[in-house]
Amino acid sequence: MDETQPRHPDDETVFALVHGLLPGAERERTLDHVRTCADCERLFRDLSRVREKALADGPPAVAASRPDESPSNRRRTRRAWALAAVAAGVAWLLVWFGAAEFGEGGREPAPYWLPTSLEVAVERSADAGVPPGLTTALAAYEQRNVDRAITDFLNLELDGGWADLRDVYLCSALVNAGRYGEAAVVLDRLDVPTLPHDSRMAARWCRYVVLEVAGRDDEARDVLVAMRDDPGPVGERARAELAGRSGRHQGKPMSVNPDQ
Amino acid sequence: MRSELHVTGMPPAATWPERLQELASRWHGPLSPDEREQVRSEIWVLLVGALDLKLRRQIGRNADVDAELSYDLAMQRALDLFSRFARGQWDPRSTTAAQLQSYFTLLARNGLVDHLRSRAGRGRLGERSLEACPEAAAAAPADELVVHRSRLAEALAACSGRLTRRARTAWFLRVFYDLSSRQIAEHPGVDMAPTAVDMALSRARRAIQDCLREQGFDRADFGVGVFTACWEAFHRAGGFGDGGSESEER
Repeated sequence: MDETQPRHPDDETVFALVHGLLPGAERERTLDHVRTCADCERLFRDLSRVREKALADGPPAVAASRPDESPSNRRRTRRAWALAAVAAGVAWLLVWFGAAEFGEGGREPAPYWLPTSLEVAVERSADAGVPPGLTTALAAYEQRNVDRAITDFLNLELDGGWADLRDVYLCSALVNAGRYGEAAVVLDRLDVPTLPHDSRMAARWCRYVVLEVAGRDDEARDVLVAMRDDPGPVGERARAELAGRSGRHQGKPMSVNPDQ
Repeated sequence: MRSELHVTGMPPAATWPERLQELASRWHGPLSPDEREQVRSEIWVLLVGALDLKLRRQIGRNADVDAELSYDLAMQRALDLFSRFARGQWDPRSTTAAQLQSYFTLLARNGLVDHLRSRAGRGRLGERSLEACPEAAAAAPADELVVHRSRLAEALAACSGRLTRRARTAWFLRVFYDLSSRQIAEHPGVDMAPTAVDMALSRARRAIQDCLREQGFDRADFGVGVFTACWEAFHRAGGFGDGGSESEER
């Protein structure tokens, strides 16, 4: 090899330069080379561009997201996750939908745990057995082991009605764990009006909690109103919530679809 | 808010896996909200960047890499990885730096394979041509040119120094990275409305062109070394967080 020829820094070194990881002398040596090498400078510029784009798109806010995020970060976060959900087709990647509202003083209704009888699941699919993993996930949910249940539900790859069932329980678990942004995402992919009655009511309850915690009082109330005539446990809760709200809120006509 | 265009905080680590491990340790320790946000941001940027780097290598370092494709694929994988990290399902400290390198290479390969399986992906990549990287000596400009461009970079830094910090950052992001107004608007060093970015860019371009012209430069002088010199000059001056008057924009 011709020792007089300058050696190209490898791409890891250029990457380290971009990200400020090189110690002083190596940084200077690399810069000295890069500024005289068209290809290296192009790589340097490309990698710098990726860094700035990633900063602009912002990190996703997930379960560990905090209410002290700045508005700008929240804006970027929502878009970043929305992009991922479309591009990657990974529906449960956590779009921090409406994250701006969570953690800003909304009231948290008491946790509501859905019944977990597998009869609910079995009746959804008379001609097939319960998918592997669902029983385990439901058992964790029933035991109020919410983190485990969430993890198990997230790892369940299901289709059709089973996916809906998983999402209803996942949403409930997320809400009960205080992970409202993620619950909102799960709700977003559920076609609530088409769900069986019990699942539909459970999903509506989740939506109510998410809206309530977000401080979106009018929409939360509308969902309660839509549930109050249901004879089941969710209707009972809705009536109790409405009664509790009567002193806090003025009655208003329903203005939105409770499932949207 | 200060710009994030330069890395601050801990002393440099030798490689990105080591840095990632350091950041993961910080993440799991006590942090103020601002510190946590900074760590979160840096982890994110490292994940995207490292995956993008691996993807480029998979595609071929010397190919005319479709930067958007590489970025999109890196973004997808990084989102998944970050999600798992934040949920405690993946910890970069649980493996060695070398294993992290291998793991990211695998993620990039899988991402690329998935993409290639789609018809759109085959078409997009199939158009790329591979070319040998010219030797540095062949591409190196003459000494005079290096000096000239160094002066141009200094002039650029000086001219842009007359701008507000945000306008300067926006200008840099557009001129050198070709980011869209929306992306610039959402960059933490800018944080403006897209329409305001357009206006700021228009004013900035005019101001810098006038300033450069006064010093005998024009845009045709841009070439090898200018970006590096500008990047260096801007960072030497405290990145994009110092200087300028915010009041100009208010």
